[in-house]
Amino acid sequence: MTVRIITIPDDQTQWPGWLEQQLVGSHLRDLIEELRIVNGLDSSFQANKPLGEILTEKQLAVIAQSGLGNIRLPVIQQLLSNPKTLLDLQEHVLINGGSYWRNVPVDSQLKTSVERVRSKLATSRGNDELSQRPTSVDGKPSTTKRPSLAWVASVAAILLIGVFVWRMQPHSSGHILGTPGLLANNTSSSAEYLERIASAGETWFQEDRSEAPKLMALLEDTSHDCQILIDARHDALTPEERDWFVTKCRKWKGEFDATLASLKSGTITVETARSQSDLTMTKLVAALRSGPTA
Amino acid sequence: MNPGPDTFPDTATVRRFIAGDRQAFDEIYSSLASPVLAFLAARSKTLQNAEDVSQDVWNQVWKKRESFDGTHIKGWIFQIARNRLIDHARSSKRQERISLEDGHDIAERIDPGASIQREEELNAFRDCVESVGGVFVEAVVRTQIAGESPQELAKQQGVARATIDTRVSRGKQQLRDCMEQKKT
Repeated sequence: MTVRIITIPDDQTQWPGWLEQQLVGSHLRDLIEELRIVNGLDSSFQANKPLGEILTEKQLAVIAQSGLGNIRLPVIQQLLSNPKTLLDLQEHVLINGGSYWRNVPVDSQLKTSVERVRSKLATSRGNDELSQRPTSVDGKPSTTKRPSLAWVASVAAILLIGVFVWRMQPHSSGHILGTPGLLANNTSSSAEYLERIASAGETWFQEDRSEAPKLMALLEDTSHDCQILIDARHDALTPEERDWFVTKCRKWKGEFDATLASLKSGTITVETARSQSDLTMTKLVAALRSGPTA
Repeated sequence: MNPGPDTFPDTATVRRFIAGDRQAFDEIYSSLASPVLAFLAARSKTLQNAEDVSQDVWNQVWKKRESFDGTHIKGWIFQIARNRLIDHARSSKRQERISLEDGHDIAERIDPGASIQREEELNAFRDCVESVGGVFVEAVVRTQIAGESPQELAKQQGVARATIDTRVSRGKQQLRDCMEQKKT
């Protein structure tokens, strides 16, 4: 076994770097237990000072930004004398730490564990994809990567052709979720149908949403489109899938309408409105890609 | 290492992640898996337990992406980690006490009996601290951990500063040797 406290460098100028590595590594718990033993602390930790009594807000901010290098040695020694504070300090730097902390070297055991979990996740994700992901026409799982240029070009071509039949489509008005032919029942699966609507939804992010009037117009159109989606038959979906989809659409429409109302009344800025509506559209796209089984 | 603001995961990556982009998820995992696991390891009985919770955490991160509001992804993921730790502790039949202190602190008490092996190691360490004991361990603890200066300690104990330095050095070496012997 490695006793952590024996690894404390003899050269005290190296203590900040040593402690930083303990905080981001896999053995902090071991170190704390050992410190408790040598400090003769009660197991309840009740005798410990809280972190706020050892480090000021300003010091915590400095640590988050640039590590322990600027913290005086007596303060570091106080931390070691109050082992529980190391847990609090760790949480602080892991959550609030800047790029400095991402560059502190971690031990090989932690790296190995991270890779092992990554493998397990990939395996379980692969299984999920096989059972849940929407499939394309050729039966292969479709990807969720951003649309390729070729894909965008294809969609653009379809849209151009679609202009011709635009007014022939009773369910097509607006220009995000009202794409011509969007609701046609010509797909091989419900997943493909939902993916088509999700892809149309993604075009939201290509729209000019920089100014309030443009964003308001876009929100009005999208709200209108949502209503069309709510009222449509969705023959490509099972009754259960349709119920799920309509419920979701009502929720999203409500969010778009609320954002529009707030923007119109001036209670939120255009930036906030854009952020809120972007998030709603992001959720819409994600939900359609995950499907009702997610 | 240059200090600077943490700009990753950036907004675009987070947005792609919420929209269901697996690649964005992988990028976020690469960036945050290590700190999340360090957090879990410090609050779990063993690293293996922390790995199990970590896998659960990242599965939840993926599943719950739709409910994420898009701001402060690190805080959001660590909140999931905190919740999963609590769930795992509750479901575990082992007696690990975990409580929330101001909704912030999870490991109120760390049980030294984290695992049988670790328990044995800690017992060995306790024995070594006792057997080396006396002036040597005291010198290590008081100067290296408690923050007393070697000069102060030397003055209190009526010895030369060099004596304290020697005790620190010998104390550490004897602890090291003792642990080696226990291992064999």
